[in-house]
Amino acid sequence: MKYLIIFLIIFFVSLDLTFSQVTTIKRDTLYYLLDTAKIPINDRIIKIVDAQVFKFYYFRCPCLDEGQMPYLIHRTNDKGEIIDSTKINKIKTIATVPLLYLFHKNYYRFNVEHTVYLLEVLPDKKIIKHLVTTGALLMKM
Amino acid sequence: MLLVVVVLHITNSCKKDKLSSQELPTINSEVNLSELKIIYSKDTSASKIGLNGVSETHTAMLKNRNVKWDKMYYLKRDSSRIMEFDLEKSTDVWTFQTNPINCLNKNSLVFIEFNNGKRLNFYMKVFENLKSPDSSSVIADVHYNKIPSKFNGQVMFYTLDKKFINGYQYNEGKIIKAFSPKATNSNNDKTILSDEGKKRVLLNLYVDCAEAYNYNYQVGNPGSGSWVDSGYEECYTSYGSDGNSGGGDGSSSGSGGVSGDGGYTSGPDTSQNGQNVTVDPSITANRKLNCVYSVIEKNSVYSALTVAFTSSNYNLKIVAGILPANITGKTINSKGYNSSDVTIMINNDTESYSVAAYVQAFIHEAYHARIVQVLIQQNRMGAQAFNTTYADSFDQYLAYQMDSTRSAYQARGQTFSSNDSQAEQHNIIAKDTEFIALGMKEAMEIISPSIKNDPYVNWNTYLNYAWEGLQESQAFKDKWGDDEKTPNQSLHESINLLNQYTGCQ
Ligand SMILES: [Zn+2]
Repeated sequence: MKYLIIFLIIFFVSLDLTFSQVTTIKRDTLYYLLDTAKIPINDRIIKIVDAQVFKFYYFRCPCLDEGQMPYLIHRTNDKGEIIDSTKINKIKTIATVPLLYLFHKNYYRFNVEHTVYLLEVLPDKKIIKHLVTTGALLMKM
Repeated sequence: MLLVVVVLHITNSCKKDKLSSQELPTINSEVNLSELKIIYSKDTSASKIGLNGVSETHTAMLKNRNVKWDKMYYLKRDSSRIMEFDLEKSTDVWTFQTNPINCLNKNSLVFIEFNNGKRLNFYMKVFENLKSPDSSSVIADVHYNKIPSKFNGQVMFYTLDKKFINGYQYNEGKIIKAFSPKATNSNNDKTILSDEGKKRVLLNLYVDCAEAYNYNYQVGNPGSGSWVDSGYEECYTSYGSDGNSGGGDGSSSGSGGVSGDGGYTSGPDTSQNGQNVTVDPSITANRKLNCVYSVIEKNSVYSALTVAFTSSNYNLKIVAGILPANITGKTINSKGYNSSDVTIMINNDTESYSVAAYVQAFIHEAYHARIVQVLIQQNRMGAQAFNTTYADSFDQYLAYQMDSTRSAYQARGQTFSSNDSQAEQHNIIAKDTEFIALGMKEAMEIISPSIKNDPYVNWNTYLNYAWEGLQESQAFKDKWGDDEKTPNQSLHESINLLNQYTGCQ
């Protein structure tokens, strides 16, 4: 057993090294579960705006430069992927506060370093999975 | 035998005007008046349509087009000569003023004859706005390429079939605004005319008249005090123009020429753009930035903005460097306003920002660089900033804006701080968001050609994107509201939409 653990450590370290040689960017994949039905509309931290080109998920948190709010987007024409709700418990999701912390740390590089899937619970309890990115902030020049 | 009566105009317009010595009374043998009369009658013959009609494209402001052939203003230039005649007085007086005090008009016919035999014949309409009813008029001394230093008003050029060509607005003899025709169709396209490598950029921005530059002419009698709306409008696009269209042949700074007048070859050559624009290896060694910049440096808007740096007195350096994550670009005059070196620094974290963000940053910063250059001039030369040989109408437009803001601060007893200066710079840039949008569209369609087929990308997408970076300006707050936390949705849509386009990877 002890050897097995040592083996696994060596295995993961070497895996990590091999990975590092391929690319210097270490991308983390995150899953964020959004179940709006559970929270009364005024208490929701997320404000959803369905616009022409994008669907916007604004976090009501003025925690970025000049009090701008972080937000996630995907194309409105991206229909996403319905996933089996029984599988949801097997997916490790990131909670809101740690996600906001990651946003706050470096929002501008967030898309470089992370892949985010939004798991949105629909009113009929179906779960729809969307690949999302952080939305652009207003830059200073 | 024709008798040409020549009037020699001695103007007091511009002290350093090198042309004065060439302004000669002509002799009969030099000008063939009957030839000019034939040209004029041919060009205005009934077979030419639209002559007397008034439509969107034919001005109503040239009613009496009978020429007073008995007096001529004559100007010989290196590569051309100008022959100008007054038209008979019209009973109408037109003005741009909404509240006219005392306005005067003069209509002229101008022939430019180039040494290579080419000709340019057009009408020149002069609108003089006297500051007060007892101010003395200088309208008689306003001539093509010759604007008296006391002149306030507009000079507009029209083809012989009365179509608007271009024009200028003057304050104390200096150009403060340039006009080009507003396009009549409203698709989201643009027209750029460049003139034989000269840095002349004419823009038809296809903007809605109601947007900004809609002038209602009024017609009336200056003496009677009664002015009525003519019910007729002309709509122009106005902008701070570049040097050659406004600079004449360069020796009469800011005199303002008609489009197509290439007779300014004796002036300073501003066609060597890039002479004092240095691109640092930090840009060229970076694949993405080098690729974007190679498109940007040929961009018509960027070129027009940076052309002033081709003078040996001013240097522009383009570098990439480490900037805070929320800043894509910055314009620095590190040695203060006593230095003639201006640096544009672009954020080198190219993984984090889109091609569109860089395109916009380059053009936005080019505006800053141009304004900073004008500030340098002002600090060195005070009010004399207008009189630099390379000062073109765009410089003058900027300098005028900055000067008037500075004066307003001083009048209130406030100092004009660098923060105030930055805010004012942003207000100037904000006014030119159409210009930025035009440059962005041009560049993006080269870098990501598929953008042209995107049904969601239209002129407004670029117009919206052009506002990025202008958050501190009053103009931004007026347009998008005061709350940066919840900006207008269409702003976020436009920015994210263009950001998704790749290219130059
Ligand atoms: Zn700026």
